Amino acid sequence: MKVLLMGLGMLILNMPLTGLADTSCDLDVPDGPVILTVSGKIANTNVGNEAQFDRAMLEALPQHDFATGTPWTEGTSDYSGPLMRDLLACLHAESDEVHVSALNGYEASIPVSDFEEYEVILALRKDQHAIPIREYGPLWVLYPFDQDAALLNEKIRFRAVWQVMHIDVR
Amino acid sequence: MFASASTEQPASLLRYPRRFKLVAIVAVVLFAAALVVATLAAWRQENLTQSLREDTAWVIYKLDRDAVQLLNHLLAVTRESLTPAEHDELNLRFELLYSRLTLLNEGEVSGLLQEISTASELMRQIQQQLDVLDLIFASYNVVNQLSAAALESSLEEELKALTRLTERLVIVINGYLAESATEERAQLSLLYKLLMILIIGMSLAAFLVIAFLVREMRESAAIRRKQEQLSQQLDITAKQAQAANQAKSDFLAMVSHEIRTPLNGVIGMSELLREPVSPAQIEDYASTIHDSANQLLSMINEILDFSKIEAGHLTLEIAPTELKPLIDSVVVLFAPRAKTKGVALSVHIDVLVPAWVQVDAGRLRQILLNLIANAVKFTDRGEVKVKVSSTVERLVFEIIDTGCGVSKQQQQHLFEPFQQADASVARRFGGTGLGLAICKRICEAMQGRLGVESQLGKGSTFWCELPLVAATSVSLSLPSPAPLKRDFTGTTLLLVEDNAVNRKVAMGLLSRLGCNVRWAENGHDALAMVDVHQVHLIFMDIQLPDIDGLMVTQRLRKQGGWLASVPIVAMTAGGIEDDRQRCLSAGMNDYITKPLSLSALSNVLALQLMVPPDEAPLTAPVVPTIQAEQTLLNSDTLAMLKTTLGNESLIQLMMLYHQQVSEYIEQLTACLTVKPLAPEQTQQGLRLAHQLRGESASIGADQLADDAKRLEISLATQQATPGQRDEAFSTLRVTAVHTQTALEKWRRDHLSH
Repeated sequence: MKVLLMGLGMLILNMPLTGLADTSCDLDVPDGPVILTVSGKIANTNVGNEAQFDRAMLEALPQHDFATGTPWTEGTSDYSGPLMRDLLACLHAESDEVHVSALNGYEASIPVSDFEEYEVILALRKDQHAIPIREYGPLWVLYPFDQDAALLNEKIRFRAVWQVMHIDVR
Repeated sequence: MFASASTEQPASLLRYPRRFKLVAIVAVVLFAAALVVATLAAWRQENLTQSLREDTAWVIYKLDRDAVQLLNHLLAVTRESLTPAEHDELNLRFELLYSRLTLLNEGEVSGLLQEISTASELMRQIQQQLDVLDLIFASYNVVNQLSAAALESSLEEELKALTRLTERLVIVINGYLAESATEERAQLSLLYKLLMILIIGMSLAAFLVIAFLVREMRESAAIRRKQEQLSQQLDITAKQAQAANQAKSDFLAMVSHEIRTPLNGVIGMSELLREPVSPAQIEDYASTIHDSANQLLSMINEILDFSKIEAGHLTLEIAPTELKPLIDSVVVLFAPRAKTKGVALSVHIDVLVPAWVQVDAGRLRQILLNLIANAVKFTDRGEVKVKVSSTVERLVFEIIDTGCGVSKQQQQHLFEPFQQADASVARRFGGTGLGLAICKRICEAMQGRLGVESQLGKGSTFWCELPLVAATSVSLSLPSPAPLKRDFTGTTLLLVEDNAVNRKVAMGLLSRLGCNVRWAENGHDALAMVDVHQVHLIFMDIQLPDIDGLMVTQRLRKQGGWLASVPIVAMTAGGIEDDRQRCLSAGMNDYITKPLSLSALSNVLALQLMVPPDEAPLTAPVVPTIQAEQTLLNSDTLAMLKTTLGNESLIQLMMLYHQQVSEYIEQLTACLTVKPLAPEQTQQGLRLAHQLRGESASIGADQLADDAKRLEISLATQQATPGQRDEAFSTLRVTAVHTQTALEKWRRDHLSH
């Protein structure tokens, strides 16, 4: 935890030096159960050539939140989690596309440009609570649908992968 | 033609654009509707509902699949006791299964499922089943080892139940999808049909718009053409008007010239008369003046006649007319002139021509006079033939001469007013050039035709074709009687005339007739004068400087007394305005046209002063004088008849007259002996007396005519007593006997061979 805080501190200190959010982060070997594995063209790894995350590691990343409704839920909720572009930056991912796999076997390719263009998060919490699997948790690639009605097209819907467990940077 | 076209045109101009607009609007509306339908169809196809249905089907399929997989997995792993990893795996699978249900319950797809009652019922059951399973899984975690077997078997049961439910849900949804797809397709095909219909309608409307445009174009082209034609027509009309105007100017110049010649005669001769001259020279000068004046008069009469016809005042007086005497009376006028020129003048009447026809004798005479005068005028040697023939429907007069002839070109203008064959003709022969134009118009008014066939130098044939209506002899139709010469000494007259010259002429002529003439130069003077002097007769000019003659007459008549019955005779210039009917309805008794002649005046005086003594007491001393001086017969009239008709015809005529007089007397006796007189008898008596008067005057039996007139007046006058009537009738009977005897004597004296 200390290390994380230090890392965060370094991250904040580093920001003026390196300029933009294009900053790396320290990756420890995860303590708890691994909920996300990132593989492929990434420079920053912790286990083998993969980056594995437990819940705490993801929560340690800068959090972003927005309220939105989705085509799959009732009403509007507040979702929070790291921005996808921050996560990829943290891992020094170098690709135009990521391939996201879900627990239920669903897979979708997402162009990285989406993350630049929209505030796409890897939602960890819904209304401050961790999201259970039966409510599309624990991780959900979530677009801010309510901010841009254009996002409600089928292409984007297919990219909003829930129950995420693996991201392959291709 | 053009006027009617121009009034129709705006109407059609208005009509087309309205129809055109309507069709254009329809086209636009149809187009808009087609667009809407097309959009609707497109939207239907792209509709999210479609993808929503697919999503729903997909999720439900996955739900079923997950359930089955979970069951299979359970069956695969429950042969032995569960390891924790296997347990986690089962848990995960259950959670994933549950997330499918969440999606179905909470996501967009839930709406669709709620619409399908069977599906929502199944969903409820699945939810229950999952809740049961949830409980089992939860207890599994807690009481792991204890009743694992029992739990597993119940888990298996419940899962099997779940798979049955999910399977049914898949089937239901598939059924729904198939149904809705069919429905969708039906709706879509309906939309396409509608679209097709709209497009066809639109095409039709567009076609109509094009058709109307083309029609519009054609019509405007037609209008343009018509306008061009119209302007050409206008050009022609303008030229014609110009030509007509030119002709009138020429005519005016010509007439002025023509008038100058006789005027010159009048002025020159009268100038000479002022100097002391011998009686023989006086005679010569006076006759030259008289001839010149007559020439002037006939020219002016022609012009007046033409202007009357042009103004539409030509009225025909169609009456039964005997043709031969009429033609003879015209031809006889030219006989002396033809004889002096050495031209033979003859009349040939076809045997088939009816003796009596319905025609306006005066106008026919005018035509014949003109044509024969022309023929004689332009023929220097050879002959002039007047030929009368007839077909079933037409009566044809031909005047054939061997004169100078008329060229084709001249023939074209011959019947146009103000034209003569050429200017040299005008100079050589004089005249107004209106004669033939007048004849043509009269002829056309009688539904006839007038034409010419001629070759230059070979003579001409002028023909006049009139509709033939045969008539039976109804009464004697004879040439008008010769002027009566009478003395009216002791008669006092009032002459109302503003023009000094006219007044002088009239006073001179009336003095010659022995009248004592007073004069007034305007209406007011006349009205003042009658207060002081009583007269036997008033001559009234129509156009007076202050009040017109008609008005003066009405005022005089209103004053009553002797003025109510004094004869008032209009003196008119004979223009269009001087309508005879207007004069008579204003209260005048008769009408004479200027210039005045001795014969016209004496005729009028004789006619108007022949009233019974008790009707006009003042004339009483005069009338007997007249009667006393009057002979039974007028030898002048008889002499004239002898010359015109010839001895034989006159003898026949006399016999006929003899017979007629006896008949009239007989009928009158029958009619007048009934007492008291019924109105019909009075009327019949009047008619008989009138006819007797007319016939007697024609043959020159003047006294009998006068007596008949007295009887007529006594019958017509309300105040006349039966005694006066009887007296008049008995006088007439005596005169009739004397007249018959006198006629017989005259016949023996003058007509015996």
